[in-house]
Amino acid sequence: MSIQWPLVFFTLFVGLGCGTFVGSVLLTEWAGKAKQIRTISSMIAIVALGIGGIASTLHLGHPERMFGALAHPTSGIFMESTMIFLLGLTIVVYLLAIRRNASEPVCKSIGTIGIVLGVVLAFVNGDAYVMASIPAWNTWILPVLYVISAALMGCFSTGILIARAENADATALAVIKKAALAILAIQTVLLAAYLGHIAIAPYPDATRSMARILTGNLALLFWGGLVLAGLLAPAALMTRFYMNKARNISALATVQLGLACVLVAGVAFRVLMFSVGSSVRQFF
Amino acid sequence: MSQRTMVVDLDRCFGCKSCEVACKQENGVALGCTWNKVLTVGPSGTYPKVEMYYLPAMCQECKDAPCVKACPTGSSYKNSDGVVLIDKEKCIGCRYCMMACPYGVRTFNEETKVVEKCTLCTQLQAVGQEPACVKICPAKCRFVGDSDDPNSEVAKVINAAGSDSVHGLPDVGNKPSTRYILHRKTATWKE
Amino acid sequence: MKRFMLKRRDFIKATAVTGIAAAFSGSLKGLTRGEAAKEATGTAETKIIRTCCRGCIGKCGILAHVKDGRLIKLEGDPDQPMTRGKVCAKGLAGIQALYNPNRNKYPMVRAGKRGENKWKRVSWEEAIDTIAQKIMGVREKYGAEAVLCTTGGGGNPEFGSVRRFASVFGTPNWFEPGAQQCYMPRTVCYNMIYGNTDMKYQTTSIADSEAHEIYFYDDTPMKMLVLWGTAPAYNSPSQGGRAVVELRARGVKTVVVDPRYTADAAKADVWLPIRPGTDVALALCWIKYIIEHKLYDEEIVMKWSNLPFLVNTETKMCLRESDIMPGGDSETYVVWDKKTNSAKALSYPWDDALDPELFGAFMVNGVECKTGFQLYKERCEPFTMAKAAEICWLDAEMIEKAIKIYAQGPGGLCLGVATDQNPQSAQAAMAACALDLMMGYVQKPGALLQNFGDVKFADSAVSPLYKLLPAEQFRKRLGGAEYKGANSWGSCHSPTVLKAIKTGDPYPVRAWLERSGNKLAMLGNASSWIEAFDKMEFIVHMYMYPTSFSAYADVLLPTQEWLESDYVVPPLNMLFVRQAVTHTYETMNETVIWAKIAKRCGELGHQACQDSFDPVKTAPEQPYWNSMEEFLDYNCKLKLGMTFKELAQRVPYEAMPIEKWRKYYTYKEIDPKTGKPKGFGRPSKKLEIYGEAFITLARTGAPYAPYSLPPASKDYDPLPYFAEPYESPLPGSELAKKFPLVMTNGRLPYYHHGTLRNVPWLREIYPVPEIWVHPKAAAKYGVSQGDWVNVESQRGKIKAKAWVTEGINPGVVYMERFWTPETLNTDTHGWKEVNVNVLSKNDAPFNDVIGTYTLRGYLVSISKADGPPKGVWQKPEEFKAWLPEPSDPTPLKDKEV
Repeated sequence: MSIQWPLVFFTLFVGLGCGTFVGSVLLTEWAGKAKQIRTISSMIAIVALGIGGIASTLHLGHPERMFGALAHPTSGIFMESTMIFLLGLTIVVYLLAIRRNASEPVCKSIGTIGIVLGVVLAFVNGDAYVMASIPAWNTWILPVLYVISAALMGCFSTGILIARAENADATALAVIKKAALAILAIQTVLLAAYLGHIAIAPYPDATRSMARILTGNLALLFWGGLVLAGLLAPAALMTRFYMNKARNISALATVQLGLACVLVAGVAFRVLMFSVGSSVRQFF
Repeated sequence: MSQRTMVVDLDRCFGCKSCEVACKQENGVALGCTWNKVLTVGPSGTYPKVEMYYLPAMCQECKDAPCVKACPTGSSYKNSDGVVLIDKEKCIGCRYCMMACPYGVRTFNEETKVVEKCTLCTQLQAVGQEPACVKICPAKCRFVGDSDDPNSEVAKVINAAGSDSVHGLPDVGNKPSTRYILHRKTATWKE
Repeated sequence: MKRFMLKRRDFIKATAVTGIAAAFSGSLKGLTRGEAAKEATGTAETKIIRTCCRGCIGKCGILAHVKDGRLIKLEGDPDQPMTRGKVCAKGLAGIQALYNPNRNKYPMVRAGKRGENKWKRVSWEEAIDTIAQKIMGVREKYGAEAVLCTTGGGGNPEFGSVRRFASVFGTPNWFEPGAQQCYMPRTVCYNMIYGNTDMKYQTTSIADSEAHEIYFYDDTPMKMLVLWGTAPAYNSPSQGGRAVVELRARGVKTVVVDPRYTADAAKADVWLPIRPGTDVALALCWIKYIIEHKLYDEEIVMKWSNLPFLVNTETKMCLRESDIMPGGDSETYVVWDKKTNSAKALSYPWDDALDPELFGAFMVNGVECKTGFQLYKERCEPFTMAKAAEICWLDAEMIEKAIKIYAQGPGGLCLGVATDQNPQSAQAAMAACALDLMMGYVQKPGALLQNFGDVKFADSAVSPLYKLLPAEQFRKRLGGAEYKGANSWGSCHSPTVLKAIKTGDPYPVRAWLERSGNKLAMLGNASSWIEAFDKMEFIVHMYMYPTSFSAYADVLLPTQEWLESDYVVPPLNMLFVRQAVTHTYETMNETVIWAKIAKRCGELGHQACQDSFDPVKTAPEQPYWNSMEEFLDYNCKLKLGMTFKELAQRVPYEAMPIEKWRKYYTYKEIDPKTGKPKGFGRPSKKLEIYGEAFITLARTGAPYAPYSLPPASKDYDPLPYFAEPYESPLPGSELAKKFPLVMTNGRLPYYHHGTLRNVPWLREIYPVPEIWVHPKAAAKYGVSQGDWVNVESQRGKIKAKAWVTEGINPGVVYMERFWTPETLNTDTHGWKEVNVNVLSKNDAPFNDVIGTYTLRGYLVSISKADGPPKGVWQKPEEFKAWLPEPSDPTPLKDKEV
């Protein structure tokens, strides 16, 4: 499969949107911290979902015939669009609730619906690629990695919103740091598991070999994009930040750098996925 | 049930690619698009003890076609005779069917922005003729017919070949119906 | 209503499906699938015209679908008995060749400097007049021999036109890049050894539409087939290649002798990947083995060949009765009779009183004589299995396995073009012919060598009119006296021409009329010709589209694609026709163009050109013609008693009943005139496996030269001999240190010679030439799969794309000829980038009999290149520029000039 750039950005932005909203709701509604970011994070989430949605239509040869999909509600593309629509709707409702100063339980309930939708959407984003025809994609690890990727982006984008707030909540930031490190740890394990899957996937082929990823023409993408930008750099940033030793670098700059890193890693991961996404037999 | 499909005798195929051009002519397949392609498998082994065969690749007319399942609009569908077809007016060009195909035998037309594939020359079938590639094949290695009908030519060709020499592409649950005949004396089938 | 066999809904869907593709693909404007369905039923206004392909030299039957004068589809004609409805990629590409936007459409004369590619359209009258004036001027100044005419294989309607024009104009100098390097060595040697047959040529070449026995796969007793330096699956997929598949399917065993692992090699029982240029060593080894193991056909060898004849070891000539007995017959040969232990004349066909020795040396009248077979045996002596294996880079066991299959017969050794492409050309053909004959694989059912009937159209219908070429002009033929075998076709020797152009020795050559695909892609050592172009006062190029050669021309003439042309095509015992399905722009059949030039020269005062139109002066040959119709009707009326149009209506026309045509053992038939068996088509009526006639050929030019010639610098050897390739890769070769790899070539199923490189469908399949490299060699020279590679010889440097494969010897590389029309308008003119003939060798040593130079089996080096050559197209989309530009039919111009 050649690299489908619109799909790379579709899932990246949808992941960012889901992550941001989920992260924000968890922090504000459930942990009760940094409530002032609720509006801005929701708006960022909805914009990210919008960009993702637009990116996905760029992938279509005939977006004008899109409504043909309505007749086939079981297809991945239908489910993804429906989920985006539902999540978007939920966020709009959540924003309205905040705007109208709805009660905490109401906001929390709406936000929680959004959490469920966000997690499921991030999962579905990845699950759409799980198919028997493409051995390197045919694993549950793939959609979980999409969820983790979204979570990580959410962590850092939420972190930025907290850090740039006038009276930044240090405890909220601490939660972000802990969460980020935890998610990074999970991502490390999952990434290793995913490599393991590719190594033992049936119908081995040079296009999806370990050699190609670790030492071949995908090595730079893997080591630079996934390991360095996706794991080591954000972990280092978070560790230094957490250890409170980063005197010469502000908290904001740290989370900003962190987001940049995980965005790069997100792109790298998706590009890698398409690069190893050859069919059982890729004849044409 | 009926399953119209193709059987290819690889003992005969000599890789001349007449079928590729015949397909392009009959179906107006654009440059850069492929419905049918003859691949070279090998030479494998060590010089001078090597073996090689040609593999004409096209839609394998899966009984449980994943492309049809993946299609969000019903553009890809399985015809009553078992042939997988694309209604191009419904195709939104999302290419999920291309991802779902285990063999990469669908093609995206960059000009019309829809996915295309081998139709087993439905338009020729409509006038009682064989597909263009079958008609033109100098090696007479291609056969087309209903593999579910034991009296069809394809069924007979498969029977005559003997089960040890009848091969299918890897099946990941899609149940490809196309069959390839290759005897050991020509070469060893590469899974 | 056949078209509603599908449910209506399905059908509508199906047409919608494909209709979009056709409407938008842009590849065949006006062709939609709805129409395709209608055409196929033949009920709509679409006409189906039965014609024959000429994408190569095959005879494939074609059904051309024509709508409103436009060709919309090509299919195979199931009635053509050699091809049975099959067509290859080249044939189907005819539609894209015909409507190629880059056709030569009108006559044009050069408007800028040579090579600038600036042209001015002129009328046919003006073009023909310009050409006639110019060549008449050159004739006046330097003599007619200063005018060179050339042709070539690719897409050639027939080979005779150039030869005939040369005779009429008075120049002995015409050539084609094939000939000495393609087919001629075989036609000459088989003719000198096996002899004349009803058909003019009788070799075992499948690619040249011979070896007819293979088409009777349903009932031939053939058991084996040796494909030596040929790959029918690649050179003629829909004709010979197809038949070989059918034979294999019926249990015929095959041996393939080929440096590259071709499709036929992959399906063979034994593959012998021979080192290029060493074929004669292997053939001599086979002969040695066959003699040692007495595998030869004793009856044929003893009673029907000249191998028992005594040969004077001093003169190398066979003894005649007149040599051993005063007053003896000079046409009766002598054997050594065991019974009387003496030399005895053997009267034809056989004398039961005699018991001739097959082998041995005997003193006859004080002179040592040996039998022909003894001489053969001695010649083969050094070529043991081990020695041949060492020379040829083969495995001795595999060689033996191959010979054993060959000895299982009947069948034959199909000798391909490979051996025609190095200086051992004649020797390889002599040895191959000798092998089949020794084995008795001749005129028996299942054998390749036959004497099937002649349906009178097998050779070019354009007769050579040698009678108009004066003896003194004939004797000026460049290379004609040295390489006398080439006089069988009547062509001169291109390296000798090149020397004459460059040095004026023995005389200058100053005008060049050329018709072929691309001389610069087909001639050996292409760069060596550039200097020659500068010396030319006038160059004409006529072809269907411009090629690299056109860049150096002064006049361009548009010739017809095969889909616009008419001819009679003879598959087996049948006659089919190639007939125009449409006509584009102002194209003209070259068979008429040459006649027009001759006519104008006559008007300008050339006597022989005037005579060429006079039936009395040309009798018994056909006078020149003014149109194709006139030319073809003359031939058809003479041979069939009907016009060409009438023949076309009667196709498939059975020219001879198959039982009468497919005749075996004709040598045993009694000649009513003599009451004796007819024998074989040699003076001795025997198979002249001992090639005495080669000596006579070297000394006089007989039987091919119409006038006697002075002796060649040395006698031709009557037996095949092996010579190590001049550029040898063996240890001790200085050259091999710099250029360690042996280059070979060979056909691909998508192109014929230099043609069709401008056809999108074919370039999409094979955009640029690959060089086959063994993984060990690739590693050694730092090349990986798919890399662009520099390929270099002493003569030049090009690029090719690496195909790393186990299918070739680590010391050998393979490439097919190529040029790139897309860079025609650049400094390279499309012939310098990827053209393997920049590397090949056109200087001595030449084959002694024929004059063959070295297109295969010379040395090269490879190294990783920095990238593809500039401007060469590789992506399918790039070829869109050449998609068909359909045009309405135009009237023929023949009669207006």
